Amino acid sequence: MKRFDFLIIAIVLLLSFAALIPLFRGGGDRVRIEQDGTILYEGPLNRNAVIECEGNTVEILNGEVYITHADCEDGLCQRGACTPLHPLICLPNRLSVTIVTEASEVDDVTY
Amino acid sequence: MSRIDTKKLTRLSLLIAVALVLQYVESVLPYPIPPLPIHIGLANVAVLYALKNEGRGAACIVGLLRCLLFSLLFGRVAALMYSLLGTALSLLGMCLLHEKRGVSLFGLSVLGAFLFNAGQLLVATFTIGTSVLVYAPWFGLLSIPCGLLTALAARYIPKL
Repeated sequence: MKRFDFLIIAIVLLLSFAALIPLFRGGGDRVRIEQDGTILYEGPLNRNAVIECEGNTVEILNGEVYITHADCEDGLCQRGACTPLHPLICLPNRLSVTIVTEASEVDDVTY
Repeated sequence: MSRIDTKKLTRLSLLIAVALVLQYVESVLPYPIPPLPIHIGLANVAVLYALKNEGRGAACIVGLLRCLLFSLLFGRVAALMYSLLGTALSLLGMCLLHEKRGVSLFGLSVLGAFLFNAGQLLVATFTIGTSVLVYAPWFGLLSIPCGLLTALAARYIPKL
């Protein structure tokens, strides 16, 4: 390990911690479901809903959001509930389920 | 056509093969740190080895061909754009700092790991959206131990 190695590591650490800052916004009471960059659904967390997307099914039940069905091979998105720090992302289906605070320009989007 | 050194050709081919096997094994095993979709990057041991013993050009060949061949051979064509940009950025960084005074294989590896993850996240923000950036700090932090690990492995493999 030479001296600039430590510099590289220090820069990586710095950038990583800088990327942590936006996460401290925390909280969130709206669920946003996007696929291919377009917003498929956005609504309050306390409204129960079942949203069928291309290849996935997202369920909002009692304030918790899960992906209950996915046709992708890894099934990573089906693990765990959606939290502000942990979005549910199905890479093969280009789907992302996030918990947000501000609404986008539209008040509500359903499909 | 200029004469190709057969010995070098064989060495590079072996390295690419090793990289492919390592990547395949990693791809079959579950992610070491769920729910983060990140591997340790064992295939990069071969790339680092190529960089140390055969030079920049060899490392780029091993890295890029490993990326392309893996997706073609094992049916991960959809993931190709992520790993290709990641590999390209990673190789760029590593080749730029290769053999600079004060930089060892460890620093190169950490840089390579970091750039690889950054490249993947970059493509993901274009395909999925900015929500993937939640992973950014964790990927960044993990690129340090993973980079150091792969460099450690590459450093102590005796030259072919």
